[in-house]
Amino acid sequence: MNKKTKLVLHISLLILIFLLIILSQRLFFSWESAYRHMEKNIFHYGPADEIYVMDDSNGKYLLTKYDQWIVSFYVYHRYSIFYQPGFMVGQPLEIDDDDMITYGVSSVYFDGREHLVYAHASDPITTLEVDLSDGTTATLNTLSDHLHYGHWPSGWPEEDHDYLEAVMIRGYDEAGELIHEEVID
Amino acid sequence: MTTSNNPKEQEFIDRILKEIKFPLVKKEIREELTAHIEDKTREMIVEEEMSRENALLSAMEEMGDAEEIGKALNDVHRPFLGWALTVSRFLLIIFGFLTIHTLIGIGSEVFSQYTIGTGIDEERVIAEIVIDQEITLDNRTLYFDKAVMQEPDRVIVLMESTTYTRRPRNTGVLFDQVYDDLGNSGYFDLATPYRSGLFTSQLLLSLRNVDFDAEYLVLDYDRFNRSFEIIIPLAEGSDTDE
Repeated sequence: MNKKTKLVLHISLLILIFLLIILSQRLFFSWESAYRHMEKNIFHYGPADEIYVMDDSNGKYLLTKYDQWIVSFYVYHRYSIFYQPGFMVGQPLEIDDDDMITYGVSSVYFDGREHLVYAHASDPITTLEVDLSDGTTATLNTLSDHLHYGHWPSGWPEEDHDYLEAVMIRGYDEAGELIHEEVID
Repeated sequence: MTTSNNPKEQEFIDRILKEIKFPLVKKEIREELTAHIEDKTREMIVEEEMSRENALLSAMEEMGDAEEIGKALNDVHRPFLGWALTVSRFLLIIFGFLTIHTLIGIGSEVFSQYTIGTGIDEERVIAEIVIDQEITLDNRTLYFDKAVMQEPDRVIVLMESTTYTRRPRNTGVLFDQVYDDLGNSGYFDLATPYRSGLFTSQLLLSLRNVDFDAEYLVLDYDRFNRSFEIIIPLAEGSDTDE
């Protein structure tokens, strides 16, 4: 077998192996492809029309909105160049138009355990604030007119005296008037 | 490995190798040339009755100009082809290990990991109810095969989940509600895989504390704008029993 034939054989084998690994391990070149695969084949959700990305060193947290649902997902970053479907973070949040604020709370890892709050605020609320268990107040980041999120290092409940969680959520209108507040369960 | 200590022979071979651009074949070519010159030298000593020194010089002279030989050999061992083969060989070894790892993973998943029993106790089975309904959920096809009624109050629903896209891990199906016509609800509602396959996995939904006086059970799926209902006629099973 001459060198050219050998090389063609090697390249063909490599392509076959590459396809086998990509298909069987569900690897994708972009996080969005991995996410779209996950929403359609595993969670039967979406297609989400709004997706917000939060990075950590092992992958990406995605906050997505589809119709009246808000769901957070995690996508793994694999072998430096690939992404792999991960899992649903917390429970789906169904937006109730009668509620001024629909919110979800979850524990996630952004290179360490963190407390994540995500919320949908109805008009006229434009800004959301949360009171944290250490007595401080934080303003949630605004993703769109209605979607907001924030996260903080939290430690472990019952084990860590620095455990930090959101205890109260408040919504303000553009003029800074308090529109709605409620205790977070 | 054949080598020579003769400086003239070494110089001749070095001049040939100087023309070869792909470094990883130089050692191999040096050995081949040394062996070839040695064979030729011996042949001349025997056939021409020459001294070793003269035979060696004649052998090299007969081979031709060192630069020309080097250029010809360089054409055969082209650097690009040489490097491409070396890299592809290296990648094949790395990816070969990954493939073995992947195949073992698939094999263990398909043949053992999720191959657990259905939990059906044949001696306690009262009736089997054929459902035979197929539902499409995005890229997934769910086939509801049958429901097994088992004493004293258990119903096991057997189903299959098939998808031909990049293989999702064999996920279950979360029903929003499972209820009967008597108003009972809140049964365990997650259909989990009990035997996984490459494209099709078998799932089971195990319902406990089912009231067998009910005429039918309803599996209700209503999430994210997808919905379907599967009705299981328990009365059929009860009739069979009677």
